[in-house]
Amino acid sequence: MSEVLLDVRHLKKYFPSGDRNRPVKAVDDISFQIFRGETLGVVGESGCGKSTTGRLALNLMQPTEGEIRFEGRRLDVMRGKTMREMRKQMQIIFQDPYASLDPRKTVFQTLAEPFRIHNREMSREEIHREVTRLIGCVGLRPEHIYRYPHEFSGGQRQRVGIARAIALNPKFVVCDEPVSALDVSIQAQVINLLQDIKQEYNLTYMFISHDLRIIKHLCDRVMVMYLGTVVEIGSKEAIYERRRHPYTQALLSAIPNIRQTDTGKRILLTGDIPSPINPPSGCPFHPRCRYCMDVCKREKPALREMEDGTRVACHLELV
Amino acid sequence: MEMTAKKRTSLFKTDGWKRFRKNKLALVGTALICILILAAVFAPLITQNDPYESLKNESGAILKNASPAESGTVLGTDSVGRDEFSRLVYAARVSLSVGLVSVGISTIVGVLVGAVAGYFGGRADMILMRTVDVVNCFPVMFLIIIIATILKPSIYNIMVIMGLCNWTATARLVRGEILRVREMEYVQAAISLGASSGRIIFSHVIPNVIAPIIVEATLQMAHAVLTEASLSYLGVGVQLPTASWGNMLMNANNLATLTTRPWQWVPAGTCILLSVLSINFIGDGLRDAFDVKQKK
Repeated sequence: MSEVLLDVRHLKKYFPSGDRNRPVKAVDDISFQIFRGETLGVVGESGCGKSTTGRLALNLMQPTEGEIRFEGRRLDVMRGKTMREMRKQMQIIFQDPYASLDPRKTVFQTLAEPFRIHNREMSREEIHREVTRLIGCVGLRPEHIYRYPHEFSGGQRQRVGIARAIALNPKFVVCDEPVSALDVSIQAQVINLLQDIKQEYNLTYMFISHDLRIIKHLCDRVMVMYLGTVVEIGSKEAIYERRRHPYTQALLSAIPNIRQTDTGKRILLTGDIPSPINPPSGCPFHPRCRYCMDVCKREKPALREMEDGTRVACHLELV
Repeated sequence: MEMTAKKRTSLFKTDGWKRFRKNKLALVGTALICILILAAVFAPLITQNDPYESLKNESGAILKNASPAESGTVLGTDSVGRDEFSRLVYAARVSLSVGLVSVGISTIVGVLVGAVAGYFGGRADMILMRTVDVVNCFPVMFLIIIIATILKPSIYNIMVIMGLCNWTATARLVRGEILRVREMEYVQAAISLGASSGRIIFSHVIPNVIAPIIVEATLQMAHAVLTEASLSYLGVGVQLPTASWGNMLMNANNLATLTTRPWQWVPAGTCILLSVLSINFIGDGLRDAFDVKQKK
C-alpha cells in the first residue's frame, strides 16, 4: 500500500476561453498521490475538473503546468514512441459506452487492436485466443465477438470497454464514471466486475464518480474536488465519518437515505458553482460556505495534514 | 498479420454485399455501369466499323448523315459519314475514364488534405483551409479552358485539371467529419491504447467518415462526366476525331440535326444520362453497404 504509483504535483490545466487573459481554470494547482494497489475515489460536482484530472493523469491531455510521475518517470514530458509504449501500463474506462466503442468495428476488431499495436508478432489464432479469454473475463460469451457495438446493451458495451482496458495487463486504470450511464440494476453488476478484475489483475484504480455510495463501496481513499481544486483527501473512513471540510459535509449530507426521514439534517448549499473562468478570491468555496470568515475571502487555504493523515484545505480550526 | 487482414476484408465484404443487394436501384445501376464498362473495354469486338473512317456506299460516295436504315448500321452515320454506333462505344472509353481518373485524383487529394487539416488542426488546418478557399475561388470552367488551350487539349490534361480543381468540396467535407469523429471517445481510447496517428486516422477515423466520402465521390463522378461533356461540347475538351459523348453532342448544335437526325444526338445524350444516374444509384447503395447499423 505504501509504494507510490502515480505522483501528481502542482498540476494545472487551463483551457482558452473567449478572453485571452482569463482562461478556464479546469484544474488549478492540485497535488496527490495514488498508491499501488489502492482505489482512489474522486468526487465532486459536475464541472469541478474530475474528468480532466483523470485524463491528465494518463497524459491524454497536456497539462498547462505541473508534473506527473508514473513509477518515478515523468509522464508529462514523454512524447511519441516512448509515450505509446508507456500506455500499455495505464488504461481508461469511459463513461459513455455508446461513444467509447468504434461503431464500425466488431468486438473482435476492437479487442484485437491492443495486441495489433503492441504485440505485432501475434498470429491471428493467438489473438483470437486472447480475445476469447478477455471476453470471458468480463462475462460475455464467445459468440459475441463477431457482433457490432450497436447490437449490445449499455451494460454489455461497458463490459467490452472494460475488456479493452485490461487487454494489455495494465497496472493503472482510470475509471471515468464507468457506471453513470447505466441502469441502476446494471451498475451493481459492472461494479462487482470492476472489483473482481482489480483482484485478478492487481490493478490500481482512480475511480471518478459523482455517486457517493459507489465511491464508499469501492474506494480505499477519497479525494473531494471543488472548482478545480482539492478540498479534502484522505482515507474513506476519515472522509465519510469525520466530514471535516464544510463542502464534504454538504456533499455527504446529500446522499439519499431511506432510513433517515429527517431532512433537516441535510445541508443545502445556496447558489451555483462559480465559474472556473472567474473563481472567487481566497477559498473557492467561500461564497457558499456556512462558516465563511474574513480570512476565507482573502486567502486561499493550503492543504493541511490532520493527525490521521487526511489533508484538508480549510481555514477552520480542524483536527 | 496477412491472414487476419484477408479474413477481415472478406467477412466485411459479405456483410456489405448483403446490405448493398437490398438496394435494387443500386443493383440496376451497377449492372448498367458494368455493361457500359464492358462495352468500352471490348469496343473492337462489338463494333463492325472503324469509328474514325467514313463509310462509303457501293459507288464510293461518303454516306453523310445517313439514317440507320440508309447506312445499314445500328445508329446511322454522322455529318462526315462515320459510324455513330462505333463512335458511341469508343466514346464510352473516353468519357468513363475521364470521370474515373479525375474523381480518383480529386478524392485522394481531398481526403488527404481534409484528414490532415481536421486531425492535426492548428496551423496545418489554417494553411490548408485557406488553400481550399483560394482554389475554390478559381472559376473552374474558365480555368480549364485556359489551361487546356495553353497545354493543348487532350484527355489526360482534362483528367488532371478536373481532378486538381474539384478536390475542395471533398476536403471540406472530410475535415468537418474528422473534427466530429476526432472528439469521439473511441478515438481517445485508441490514443490511450498507444495507437499511432496513422493508425488512428486510417483505422478509426476514415472508416467512420467513408460513407459521406463515397456519396460525394459518386456525385462528383457524375459531375465529371457532365463537365467533360460540356468541355468537349465547347471544343476545349476531347478533340476530334477522338470521340467522347460530349463532342458527339456538339454535332447537335443546329436545328436540322435536332429535328431531322435524332440518331446523331439521342444515343450520346442517353448514355450520359444513364451513366450519371447509375453512378448516383451505386453511391446510394454503397452508403447502405458501409452502414453497419443496417439490419442484415
